[in-house]
Amino acid sequence: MTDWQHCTLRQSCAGFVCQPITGSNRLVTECTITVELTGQLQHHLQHEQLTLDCSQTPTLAGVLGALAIAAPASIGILGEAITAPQELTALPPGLLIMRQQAMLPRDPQTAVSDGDRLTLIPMISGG
Amino acid sequence: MNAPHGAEQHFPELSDEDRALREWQLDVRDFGESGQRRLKGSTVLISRVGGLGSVVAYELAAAGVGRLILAHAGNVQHSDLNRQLLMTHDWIGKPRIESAVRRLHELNPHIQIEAVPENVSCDNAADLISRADCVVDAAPLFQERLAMNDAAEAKGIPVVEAAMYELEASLTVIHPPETLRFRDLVPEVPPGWKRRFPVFGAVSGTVACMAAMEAIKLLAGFGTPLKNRLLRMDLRSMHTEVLRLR
Repeated sequence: MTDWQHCTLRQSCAGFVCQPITGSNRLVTECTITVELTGQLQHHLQHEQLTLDCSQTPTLAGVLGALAIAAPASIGILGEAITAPQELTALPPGLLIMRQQAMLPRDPQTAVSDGDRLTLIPMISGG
Repeated sequence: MNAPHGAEQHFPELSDEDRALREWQLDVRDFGESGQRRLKGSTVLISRVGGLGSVVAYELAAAGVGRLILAHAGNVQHSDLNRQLLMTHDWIGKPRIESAVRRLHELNPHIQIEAVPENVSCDNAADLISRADCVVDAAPLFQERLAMNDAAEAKGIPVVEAAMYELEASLTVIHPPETLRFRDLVPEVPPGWKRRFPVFGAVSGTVACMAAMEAIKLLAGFGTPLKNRLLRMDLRSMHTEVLRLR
């Protein structure tokens, strides 16, 4: 199991214990991220928000990897690349990620912190 | 609208009829007769006159923009009529662009309209944009949006980016180097985007009116356009926020 596979959906912590995770003889700091879903993500995933455990990979790439596991329908919207966060070299085209109402850099290695609330905004169109 | 701000002599004079038609907006603070002359001397390219572009075009025609370039291929379909307000039931099966021109001239017989019965593409974007002062992107496909933004960036003119999905809408103004480039947000066509998506006409109409207002502000040179900011609206909850892009 790779590190990013530890990222799991945490629905109100039910069934999950919010404790540090150990693996490979190291202590991993807890990192719980809440993602607000918008546009086609909200529509297809049928959730307005999800809480994700990104302790193993506390980066935007880790958040997207956790989302892919928690809600596989996100892969169809954001692309297959999000399933391999450690190999992710760029955020999916057209995906904006906001924290505190400001856009985060499009670098997938951008760090996230425990308790962050992120808004995932896939760009939408006219028609 | 190619003259710089302050060079009012380059903009067309208003006729008495112009003043009568725009009487209610001529009193708007920071706009006035100067702003109205700027609108009269301006050309706006609207990419597609569908759910968004129809209402944008109607509002700009009402406001007294002098010239519109409308680009939209295809014939009116039944499924257009929940949101494409320049299309009418009796025009089903006939060219959308003809319906749009007909409806706009009913409202404003003086407006000049260049009707282009094709969508914006890499092949025609630079030519269409060469005759415009401002672009409103109301297109559904990212291929044409990228082509249009690339051409607009090369010419240095602003693009009002309006979009909607289900009960959500977003709006921003792209005008590099003052703002991010569209490609900074969408480097390539997003993998999962579908041509058809859920939406109410009331949602596209809402953001279209705001997009028209952004175009008016840009052309007339007043107010604070949404540069480096993204307005996001969720009409399901009526939550609205302005996000910082840079």
